[in-house]
Amino acid sequence: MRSTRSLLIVYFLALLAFGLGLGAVLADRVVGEVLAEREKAAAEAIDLRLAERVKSLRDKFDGELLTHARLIGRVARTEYFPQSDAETRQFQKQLIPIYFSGVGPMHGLWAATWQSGIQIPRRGPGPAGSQPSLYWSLVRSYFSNLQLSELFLKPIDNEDREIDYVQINGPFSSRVSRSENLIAAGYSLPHDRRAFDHVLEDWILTDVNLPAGRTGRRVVFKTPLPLPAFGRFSQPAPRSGRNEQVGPNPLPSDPLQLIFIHVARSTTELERRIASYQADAANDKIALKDETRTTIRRVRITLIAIGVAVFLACLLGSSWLIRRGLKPLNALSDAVSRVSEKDFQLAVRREDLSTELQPIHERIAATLEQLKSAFEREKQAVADISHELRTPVASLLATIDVALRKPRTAEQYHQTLSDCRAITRQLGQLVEKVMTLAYLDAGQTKVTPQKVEAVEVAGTCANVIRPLAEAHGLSFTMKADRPVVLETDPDKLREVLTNLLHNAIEYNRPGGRVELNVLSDLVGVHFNIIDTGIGMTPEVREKIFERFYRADPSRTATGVHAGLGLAIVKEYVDRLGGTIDVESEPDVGTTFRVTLPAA
Amino acid sequence: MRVLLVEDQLALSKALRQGLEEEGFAVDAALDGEEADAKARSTQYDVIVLDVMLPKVDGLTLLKRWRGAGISTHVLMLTAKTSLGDKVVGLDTGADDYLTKPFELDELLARIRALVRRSHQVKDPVIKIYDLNLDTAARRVTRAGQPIHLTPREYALLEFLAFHRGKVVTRTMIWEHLYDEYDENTSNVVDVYIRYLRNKIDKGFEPALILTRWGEGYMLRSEDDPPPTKDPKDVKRKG
Repeated sequence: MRSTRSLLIVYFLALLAFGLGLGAVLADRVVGEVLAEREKAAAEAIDLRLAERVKSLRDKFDGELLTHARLIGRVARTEYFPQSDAETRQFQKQLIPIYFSGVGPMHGLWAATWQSGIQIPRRGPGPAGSQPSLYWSLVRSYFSNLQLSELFLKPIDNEDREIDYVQINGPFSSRVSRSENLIAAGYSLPHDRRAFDHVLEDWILTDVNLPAGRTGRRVVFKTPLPLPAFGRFSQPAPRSGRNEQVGPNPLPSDPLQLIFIHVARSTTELERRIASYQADAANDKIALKDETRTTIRRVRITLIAIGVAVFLACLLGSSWLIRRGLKPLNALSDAVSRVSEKDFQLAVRREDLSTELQPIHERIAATLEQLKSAFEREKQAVADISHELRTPVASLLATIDVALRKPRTAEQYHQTLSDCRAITRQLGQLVEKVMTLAYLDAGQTKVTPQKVEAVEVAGTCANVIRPLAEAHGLSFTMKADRPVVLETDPDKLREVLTNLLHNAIEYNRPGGRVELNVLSDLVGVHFNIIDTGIGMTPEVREKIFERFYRADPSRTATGVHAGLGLAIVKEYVDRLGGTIDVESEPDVGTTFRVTLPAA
Repeated sequence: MRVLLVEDQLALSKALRQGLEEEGFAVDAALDGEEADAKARSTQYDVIVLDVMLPKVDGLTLLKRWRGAGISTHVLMLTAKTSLGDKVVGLDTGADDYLTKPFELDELLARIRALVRRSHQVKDPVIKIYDLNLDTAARRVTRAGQPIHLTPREYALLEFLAFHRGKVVTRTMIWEHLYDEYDENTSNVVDVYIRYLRNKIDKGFEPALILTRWGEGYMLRSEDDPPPTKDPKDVKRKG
């Protein structure tokens, strides 16, 4: 036998486990997704940071190159070029011997001319004639004297401690000067002047191949070089045509006097640092993944722990909860088990039960009430039967006792025996009636319907009753409008009619009347038994079909009516599918109406 | 002794009446409550045998009425019901005894005799007067050890005198208690029976127990009485 409680617990726990499992899976999913999202975002951040760092590294690298180039330009301009006429003259003086020793007679001539202040007219944007070649020869020789190795090759703020390659190109891409490391490697940086044609800035950053197969980064910085012209420092013919400047022009503004400073540096160190950044980023990502995995594991463990804790709590709680929930049921069950044949009262109040149980309580209480009344009816019936049997038995016993007290004559014995016979017959009839009802109750009475003529059946009853009625000094009439066929059990019908007619005689008054009318209509066949007897009060009328009910106990003195006749009639009519009702008025008479359904 | 038998079952009433009469009781029968009420009020019975289930007025109601009206006659209830509740109700209502149907006739008779004794405040069923021995239970009479055979009516008369011994009983009293409603009221029938009784219990014995009080009635001598020669008025006072 499975108990409701354990079943409930099992169902509840199964449901709970399912719910918890589902919740855990969902939570795991959500947490997993959130974490993955977070990881992705973090990885993106790492990538971004890496890119920024790389960029800033490169920018810094490029910046350093550019700074270096600019520095070289500035130094070249400010330190080594004349800033005034006096300086220019000094410079020129210094240059003349260089020129004569180095470049040949033609140059020396040109130099002398320049020295004497012969103005060399310039036309167009570039140096005209052979002047530039002469000029740049001067410049080159000048640069050769510069301590490039000291100044320009020094790394500026260069953490890499790489030695920059420096090269200076002249306006016509001619190489003017190189740093020592380039010279040592016999390498010159490629130079394309045209690269500036489409560039707004005065510098260009490009990757470049370096000696010894190294790759590097180079900046080409374009800067004007204020080389003094051989002649007076004077403004060329003013294009504006007014404000003739008097005096020498401190700085030449010839666009042709542009130099290109190349500064190149190996990117090996840079790449190494970038690679290390990248490695850092990769490590970060791995750590991130690990962290995510750890978090997920921790979340799962937490979920499982919570689930187990909830399950255990519910395991304990459910038993308590269910015990509490079943309490009213237990109370009801207790109350029901306390019901006995002595006490049909349900020992629990309806109001004390939950609403769900109240209908059950009602049903049980109603059933118990029915049982109780059935039980009491049964008890009453047994008491009634024994009572009804006791009286004739007492008569019988007393009669026999008296007869036996002393010797009697044959006549006296005969009298005693006939008394006894009469009593025994009463007893027999009573037993018969009780048995009839018992059979009816047990459902052992068979009704065998057949087609019968209702008026005929009533007629046979009338024939039996008429002499009896006359013997009681009553008039008996039977009326029937027309023959009518019924499908019913004729024996039972006869029994019913005879019984009712007997009553009609029994409860009549001297000189009274008894009628039996057979009528038929759409509803069925009506048998009306009318008497002009003592009648009944409404209270009596309600009870006449109850067993052992007698309106007037006095009738027992004269008959064998134990209050069973009408009970049997009612049962029979019910069995035949008919109805019986009664109209009565005290001291006027009674009409019993038996209606049987038409065939 | 005169008994009112209230029983609606004709057969039972008839049998009981015969049985009681053969025992020397004078029996009046009533078949319903109203008849019983009328009879109980008009006659002083020694015992009333009362059925509970009665037409018209039931036994318990009757009993209540009687007790209310001061009729203290001892009542033996007869009923077909056996439950304790009915017995209790019956006894509480004022019944003196209770018998359920069916019953043995002997038991009924014994209980009626016991009630008769109680109604005369006699506990011992054997009444002794000098050498006269009256066994009211067995209905046997001996004088000086000699059994005396009496007819039921003679016995009833002796018993009635014995219950009232030392007191004068009038002829009317005797007649009322010894004869039922159907017996003819002939004045000397009592004197005739007294003579019969004297012949049987006093003839040849000393002292004479049945005394005649002229103009009053008869009296059975009591043991406490002074010798018979004394003035009977003293005896009367003593009783």
